[in-house]
Amino acid sequence: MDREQLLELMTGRRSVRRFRDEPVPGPILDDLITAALAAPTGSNIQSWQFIVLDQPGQVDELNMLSPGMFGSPTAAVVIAIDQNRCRELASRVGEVVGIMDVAMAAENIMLTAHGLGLGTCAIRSFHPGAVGELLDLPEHITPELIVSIGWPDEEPGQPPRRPIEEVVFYGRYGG
Amino acid sequence: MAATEDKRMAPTLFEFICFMVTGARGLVDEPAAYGPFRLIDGTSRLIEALDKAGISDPFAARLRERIEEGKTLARDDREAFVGLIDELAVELARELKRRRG
Repeated sequence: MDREQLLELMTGRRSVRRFRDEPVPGPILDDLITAALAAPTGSNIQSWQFIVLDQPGQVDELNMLSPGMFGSPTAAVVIAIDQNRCRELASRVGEVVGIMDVAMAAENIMLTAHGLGLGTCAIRSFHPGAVGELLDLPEHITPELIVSIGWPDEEPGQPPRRPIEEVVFYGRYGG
Repeated sequence: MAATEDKRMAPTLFEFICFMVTGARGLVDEPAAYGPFRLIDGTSRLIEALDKAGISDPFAARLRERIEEGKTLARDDREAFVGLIDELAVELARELKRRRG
């Protein structure tokens, strides 16, 4: 992959909210999980837990408890944090670091999916208690982010972005 | 009765649509705290509208009873209101699991 192709991959990802009614093959989901597990994790704590949903009906049930999920994706990954592991290994910063790790793993999933022609959307608008109940999560395993996955039935344009000079500085803030 | 009139939805469902659309516009200017109340009240209204249209469900009926008992908490005790919503969400998940084929 050359520099141009790499930048095209990194900047071409979009949040997809309409999907074709076509399953995502297991080996492809395995690739997404492989990519997720390669993400950075603070102090290598790896407090993450991944619940992969790809059977008929499973994602539909999750959808019912997730107002932020749109369309009918045929797969999803629920990324959770083992709060006990966070507290034991990372003390007071554990919770924040755990969430950062979840986000980085999710981005790996989404970029890999984009490279393989899939569409994804990161979803925080769901009821954690209800999703925990649905997935039989123990109390100390808290769902933090859902990534919906499927074959896209739309090609969203780039959403508006703030001008680069408002958000990027060199050397010091405002520089 | 003309053929087109037969295809209209039950009046109670139409009322619910009116509630949702007008509620959405109202929330643009109303306090943010009204939002959760409108949604929970809307849930109760939808269950009632469906029941009057001949679509009933015992679980939904019990859910509506709990909403009607507790919805004034939105005004009187925000923490308890949030707790009620959390309990209802978890019960929905339990019911989803029970209804699996």
